[in-house]
Amino acid sequence: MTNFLLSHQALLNLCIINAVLALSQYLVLRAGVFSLATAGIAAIGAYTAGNLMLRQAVHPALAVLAAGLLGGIVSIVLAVPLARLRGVFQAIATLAFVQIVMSLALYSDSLTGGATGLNAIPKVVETWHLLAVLAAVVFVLSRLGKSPTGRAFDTIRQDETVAVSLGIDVVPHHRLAFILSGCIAGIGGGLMAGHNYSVATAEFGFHMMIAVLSFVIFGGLVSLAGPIVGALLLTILPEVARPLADNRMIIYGALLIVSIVYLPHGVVDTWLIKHQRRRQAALSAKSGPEAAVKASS
Amino acid sequence: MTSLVLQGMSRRFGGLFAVRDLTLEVPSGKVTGLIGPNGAGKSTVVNLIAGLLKLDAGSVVLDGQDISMLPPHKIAAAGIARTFQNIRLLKEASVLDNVMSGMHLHDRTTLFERLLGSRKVRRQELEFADQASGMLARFGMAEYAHRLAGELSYGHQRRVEIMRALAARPLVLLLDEPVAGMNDVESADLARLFRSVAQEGVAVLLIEHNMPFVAGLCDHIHVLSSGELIASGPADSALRDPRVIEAYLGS
Amino acid sequence: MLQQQLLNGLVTGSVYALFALGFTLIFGIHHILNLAHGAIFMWGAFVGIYCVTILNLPFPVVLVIAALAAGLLSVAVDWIAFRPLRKAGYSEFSAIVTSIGAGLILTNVAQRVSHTEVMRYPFGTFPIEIYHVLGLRISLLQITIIGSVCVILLALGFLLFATSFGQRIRAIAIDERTASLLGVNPDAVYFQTFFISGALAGVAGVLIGIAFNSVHFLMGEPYMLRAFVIIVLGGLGSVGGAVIAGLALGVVHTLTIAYLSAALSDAIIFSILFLVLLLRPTGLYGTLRLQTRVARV
Repeated sequence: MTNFLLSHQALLNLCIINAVLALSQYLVLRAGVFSLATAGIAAIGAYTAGNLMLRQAVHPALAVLAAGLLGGIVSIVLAVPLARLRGVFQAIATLAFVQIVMSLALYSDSLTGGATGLNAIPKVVETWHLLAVLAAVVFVLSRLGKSPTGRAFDTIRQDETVAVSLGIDVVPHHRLAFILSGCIAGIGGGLMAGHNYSVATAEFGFHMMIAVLSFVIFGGLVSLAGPIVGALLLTILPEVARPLADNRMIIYGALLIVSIVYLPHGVVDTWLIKHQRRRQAALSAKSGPEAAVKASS
Repeated sequence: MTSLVLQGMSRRFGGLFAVRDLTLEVPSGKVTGLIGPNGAGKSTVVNLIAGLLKLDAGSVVLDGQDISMLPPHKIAAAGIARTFQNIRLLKEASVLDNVMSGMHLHDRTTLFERLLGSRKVRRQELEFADQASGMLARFGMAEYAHRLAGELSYGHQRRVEIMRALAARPLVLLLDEPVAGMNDVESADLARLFRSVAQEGVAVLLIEHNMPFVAGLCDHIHVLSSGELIASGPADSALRDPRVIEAYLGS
Repeated sequence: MLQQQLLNGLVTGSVYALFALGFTLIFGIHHILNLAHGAIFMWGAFVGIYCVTILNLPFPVVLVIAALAAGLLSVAVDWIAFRPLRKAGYSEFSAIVTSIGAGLILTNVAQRVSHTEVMRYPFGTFPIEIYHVLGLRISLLQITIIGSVCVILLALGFLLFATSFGQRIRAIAIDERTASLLGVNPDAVYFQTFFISGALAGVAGVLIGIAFNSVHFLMGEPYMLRAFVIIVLGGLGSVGGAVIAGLALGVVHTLTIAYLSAALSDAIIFSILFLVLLLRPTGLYGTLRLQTRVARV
């Protein structure tokens, strides 16, 4: 078993990093913020951490933290214009942001190495580091999700008018989701820098944006397991079948359409809903409604 | 005693007054009716109070505090809860979650505590769940706690929406056509519910155009027609006012 | 010389306007953001170049065929990406995601078909004739481009505002349900508007392909983002605004490339987008209400 895992360690690491990025995208979508900025902020995080590790010999843990911090700061700045927008226009604004970041990255040779990127970054990030970071992110998001904030996110996402009628102040909630998402994206980018030996614009930008969006749409955007499972499946599948890898973007495209039309809640959330219903029906039948209520608290 | 006072409230759309110079009081402990034919401006009144529309003139005063300019979430925080004409529940969430979403204003935890999952947060969640379950039991819907709200019958959905509004423990409850499309048995049930809510001290404003329902339930009725108040008074006299009859039958 | 660059900018801008117009049409009428529009534009260019290189057809015929092909392709995108959602009662978010999916599929099929190569028109496809007017150089191609765009705009204007056909389209734009109750067939209107939108994009694709003598599978991407700038700047759903903003953007783009740097031109355009979204989200001529946060209106 361990031999199997070791030989596929690169793939496992990729899965974990993608899971972290997927969680960043998930958080904003769950709160009803239609942001596609994750890829751009991950790029910023990667270049930050890459520069710190390569040129300043900063300890990787600090570099990744710095990447996360910078991701949060960029998000704070972006959150200001985004606060007034909704839906489509948030998407457009964040899309434009990613493009700006990519253009600037190509342009500022000194900071980013231009098109060739930063190379020969010491590879210091191991699988267990990645798992630890993922676990930390999952912990924070799961705690937040089970709190009144999680419920507020769900309410805002489904019906903002209802949310305000219940006293929920939307702007701070959107801001929180966005900033936290930015920190996670920055951390994800930082991890990439410490793991991939190099940072180049080709890895970020449009393709990453689509991949990360696909993880969440396919997996589900309410439960935490959704984006993680989505990232896992969509990272592993192209490695398993060559034709899938070659036509990756076409598959993502088809997947996006099929998911939204036939499985609008995503694979994981749809399964959870069905499973939840069956469980509650069984519990109610067995020992009365009170037990069912207690069981899910 | 709490009361909600509308003073000279007006709102125009283009050149037309949707609501004009409306003055009325919604005292606590009573069910106050606001009725009128379709297009009279009743929903506009609700949206003006609830913070979704700007007032062109006049004021909305709650317990002496002028809330006319407050954004909708602050209006809710001030103690005003509402239901919607077309029942806006979170269809993908469970009944319990829907009711619990109404408790947002009672959250006493800090962001830090929520991010780290402190015991305080978990205890509060259990309390909220308990309170919500209690409310479900009171409304006779305990066994629906985990059903998806979207699967429920119309009547049950209405109840969930009302429970959600009451979960906030409001001072004022705005009910926007709550029994539209219901049969007499269901609406009678809800009427009893509204009366008991009022008896607990809430100021209930009932917007309806179902006259018999309103007549049986409301202590005081205001009649709106084309945005203006044409009659006010206890149910039996207001409804017999010739201007009211004319407004409903048309001229 | 500045005036020369301005002229060049206007020519480019007129094609931007054509592209943006098709996009605005769908958005203004159906409130759908068709993110596959850029791919349809690109396929128009593909059809154009294949007609010339493989079928040796004369240029005017090529324009017509490309318009037809792109129009049909656009209708196909509607059937696959948007129609299933209409039946299910979609959210704006779903429509955007499925259109991203459709665009991805179209783009990557084009990549395969063209083997990721940049295609060029054979020498002599379009007669190279330069005229000197008022001290400025203007080529036959540029005249053709401006001429075509003017003709198309006039035809479109006539169609939308002076025919019963146009009346039906505008009725659907105001309220689809009421219009269908009054006897307007929404399916037919969707077919017609998507067809027109696609045809406009197809013509724009051929013109741009020959103007810059470069046709490749990614050529639609920068135009999409510029189209966002145009529709936001020019006003959501405003036809006249889209034209004016398109021309303005063409000028800005050309001047930036001429006097600053090509790499920065993108960053500058998106920064403009950002600013506009920040300050005047409804654009300069906006008549459509932008979806904004819930507050007193």
